[in-house]
Amino acid sequence: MEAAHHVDVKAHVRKYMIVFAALTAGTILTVAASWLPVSFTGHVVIALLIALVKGTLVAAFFMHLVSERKALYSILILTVGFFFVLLALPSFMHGEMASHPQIHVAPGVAPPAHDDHGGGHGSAEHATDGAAEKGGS
Amino acid sequence: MSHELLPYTVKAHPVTGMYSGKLGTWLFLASEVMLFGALFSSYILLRIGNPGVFDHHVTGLNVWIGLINTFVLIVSSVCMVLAWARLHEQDLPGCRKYLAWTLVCAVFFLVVKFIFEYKYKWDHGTYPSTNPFYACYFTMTGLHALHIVGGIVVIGYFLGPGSRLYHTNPEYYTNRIECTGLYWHFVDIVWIFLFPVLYLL
Repeated sequence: MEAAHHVDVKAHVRKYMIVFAALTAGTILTVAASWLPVSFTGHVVIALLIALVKGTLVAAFFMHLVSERKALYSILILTVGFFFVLLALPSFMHGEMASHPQIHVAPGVAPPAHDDHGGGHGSAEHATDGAAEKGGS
Repeated sequence: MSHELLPYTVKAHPVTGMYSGKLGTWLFLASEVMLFGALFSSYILLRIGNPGVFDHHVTGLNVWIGLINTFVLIVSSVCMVLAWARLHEQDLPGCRKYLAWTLVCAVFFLVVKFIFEYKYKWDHGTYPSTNPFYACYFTMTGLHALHIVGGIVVIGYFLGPGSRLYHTNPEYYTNRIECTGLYWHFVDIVWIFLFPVLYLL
């Protein structure tokens, strides 16, 4: 009994290591995919799909959802449903936004500084040249 | 003993099929999903209303810093689940070792966030009031950082004085570590979505 228990934990640990490798690969893939020459929508779809897979892996294996009770699934399905309703809300308000464009950059506010210490992303440096010097809020 | 006053802290409740702490943690996490969901929703709304301001070429966040922090959180999640696995082998020192590594990762994440991101931005005059993107950025990452701080407090407790519970009731302690892990993995999942949304899109 004890031996079987040990094997079970070891099998779990092996699974955690595989998930860890998958999460690391997914993270690198997310950054690599952001340099692909695709449309903005393409970038959004790719990035969120990878994030969804990574999130599912964490929930399924680290949070043990794969072996949880069905009662818990109903709570989580309800939560996920409401989460997507929340995310869909802005699309209902899109027309409202077009007719009331108050939510914009405050007048007289300079664009933000960008991080130029140790990296950046693609053409970020060029896009904000001069902005850092202006700074201020 | 306090755990005797609370029913189903170790054994599963006959109705839910799980101990009460786990059900409570999952319900709490469901409310957290709504909290962050509202912020993601606001982000989408503000992004629609401010085309260009949210473009990652304009915001210029340092992707490498975000990438390092993502990796650190993933490592911390693995350490957390391994701490729980060690308890199933009756190995409290092993559990505490992994809890300590989780704590190190969490502190590292916060140090990187505050010194290399927040402080750098503040030094260059970038604040939440700078534009809608930075309002979202500071709110979402700030709330996430607060969750990290909360995790540090809880993990620190179970690494230190809270670990005494193991000697009197190991199953109860194991369940508490599992609940702490659920919370910590949730914090990791939130960052998994925050990273591409704020740094890459």
